[in-house]
Amino acid sequence: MATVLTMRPARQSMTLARSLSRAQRRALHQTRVRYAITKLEMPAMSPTMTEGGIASWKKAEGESFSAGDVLVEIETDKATIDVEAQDDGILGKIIAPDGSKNVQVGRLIALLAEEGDDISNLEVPKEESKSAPPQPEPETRVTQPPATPASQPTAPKASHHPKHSKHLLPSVMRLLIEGNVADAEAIPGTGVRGMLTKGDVLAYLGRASSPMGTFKEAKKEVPVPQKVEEPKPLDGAAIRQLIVSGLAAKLKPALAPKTPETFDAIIADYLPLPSSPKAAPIPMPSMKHDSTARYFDGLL
Amino acid sequence: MASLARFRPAARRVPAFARAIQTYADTTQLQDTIEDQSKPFTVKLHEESFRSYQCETPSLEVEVKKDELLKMYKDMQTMRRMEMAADALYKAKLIRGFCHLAIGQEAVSVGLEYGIKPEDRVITAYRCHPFAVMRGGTIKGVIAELLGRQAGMSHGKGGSMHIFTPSFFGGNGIVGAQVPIGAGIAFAQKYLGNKTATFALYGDGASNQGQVFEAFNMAKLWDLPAVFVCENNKYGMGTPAERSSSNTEYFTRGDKIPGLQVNGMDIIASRHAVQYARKWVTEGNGPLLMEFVTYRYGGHSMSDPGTTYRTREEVQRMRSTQDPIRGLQRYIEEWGLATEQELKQLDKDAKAEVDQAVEEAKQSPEPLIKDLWTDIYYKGTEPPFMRGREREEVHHY
Repeated sequence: MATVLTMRPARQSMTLARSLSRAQRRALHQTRVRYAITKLEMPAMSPTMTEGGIASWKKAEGESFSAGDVLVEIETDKATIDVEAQDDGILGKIIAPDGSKNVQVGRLIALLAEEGDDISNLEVPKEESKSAPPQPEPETRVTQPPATPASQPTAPKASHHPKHSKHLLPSVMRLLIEGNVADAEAIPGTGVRGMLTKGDVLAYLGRASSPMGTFKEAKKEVPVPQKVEEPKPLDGAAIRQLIVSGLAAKLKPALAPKTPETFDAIIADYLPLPSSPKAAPIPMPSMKHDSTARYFDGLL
Repeated sequence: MASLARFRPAARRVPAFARAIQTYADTTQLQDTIEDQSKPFTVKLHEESFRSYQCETPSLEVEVKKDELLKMYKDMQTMRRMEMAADALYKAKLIRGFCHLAIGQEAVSVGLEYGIKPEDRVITAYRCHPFAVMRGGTIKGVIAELLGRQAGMSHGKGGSMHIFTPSFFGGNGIVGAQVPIGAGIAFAQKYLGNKTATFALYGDGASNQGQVFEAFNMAKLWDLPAVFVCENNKYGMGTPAERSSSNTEYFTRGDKIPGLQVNGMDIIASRHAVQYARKWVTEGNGPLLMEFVTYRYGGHSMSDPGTTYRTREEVQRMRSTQDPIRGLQRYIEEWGLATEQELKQLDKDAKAEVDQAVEEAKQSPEPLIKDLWTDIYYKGTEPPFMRGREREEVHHY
């Protein structure tokens, strides 16, 4: 047949070939029509599963199944789970055989065909790159700087809303609104990490003398270093002196207990110590910023 | 405790002469031969398709039309395919989070839609994907919502528990919370003078919630046009109905509210009962309780294999003997309305429609960051600012 065709002129041979092939198609016995092949991919049996293994196939190639039948047992890190078929069909080709390990979720493990299909020459389709969910265009995705979301230049609104690069405390916010402060950033902040405090706003508005007002920090007493005499190491003579005086004290007759002369002498032991006027003043708890900072760390 | 889970009473304790409902999908008989296929014809339902409480059962003679049956078949098949596509997408980790599928319960959603009018209101819980599509949604909208894309019916921000259409009120996450809301919707309909019915659906697991009975009381007290529908698929998550409810005849739990139990696997019976219920409430007879006895093949959700509390044989048996789509297919073929090839063609059309919707939904982009702040408040009523996920994230409207 082919030799006859090649002897003819090119254009006529084409039409003859086409008509011959059409006749061939009509005359030859039709192979069974193949419906769409369904791909069976590795299912994620739990939302955290990323890969699994094939424990065993419950159906053989060419075996038919109905919807709900178990096709294969998948081994996950947690358990061995049965995978059921969704539709009726026959198992066309097993791509990942029994005992396959580390099969990623989404990888092809088998091809399924419909009943009455010709599965003699099923080809494994080439691995297609999975289409990830499309990312929106870069220009539409606005990346918000996490630190300063409030420092956007916005048009002045009818309702005055003070904005500051740092967090505004409710008392501060109220004062800003009441005092009609146009730009909260102009006020120097003396609070933790530069936040505005109520005192800052009051001082700015003129209602207070300073951010700390009339509060005066107590002066810290510097303790005077007292001269401490170094104890002299005892020599032989001093030790002997100590021993003799100790012995002498023991030899002296015990002193008779003195009877107390006055009533006050009796109860003197039980009364609280009289407050001496020369007691050192107890230092006030210092309101220094570093201790406040330590208190507030992690709180806000 | 685990041993209790496997303890089932040997035989169902049914009194000797009690009628029981049958749940086969293919027991409806043709009355006489159909002369003209373009005209409606009468069929007779099985006598055990309905059971009633304090009211009359609907008549067993139903008038059906050929094109309506074919449309119902196509819709049921489309809904089945959509749920199966959601199953596959979940297993491919494209849908995350919750996914509750209604495979096997298509006769309830499609039968409801064909029994009511577009202006009637429907509210249900989270097994809502077929209802959402039937009540005016699109398959692409539902799938995209599950995938979390902008083309979703809530712009991808809600998932299956937040899908709405003008006559469908969701898509609700809290078990049993939609029933008092449904009673409220019925109250609104009565207040506005609309001659519509409101269908508030819940499951057998939610039927024991307290607020359900509060809703019953208010509906009966004020004669609201509410139909409370219990979709009894025999398992509340993993608990069989007999282990959770002392009274498993959910249609009798309305106390003074009349009830009707329906075979939820036969779509002709379902649709006929829904028409009866709609007529009942719109004529001012007060509320009605309906119970659809149906079955779900899958688990409670995608995290549940569905075989730890029931045997695979039971599921396979229900699938092979009581499947609603197969039942309707038998009717259509037996009554000579269409051939097997034509129905297979409808199957293929359904599959192609769903596949295309899934592809379109996959192409849709994820929501923009600025959409985190929209749709929280009604436009124009927003507060000056809104706190975000972190301390520094503040949005000013």
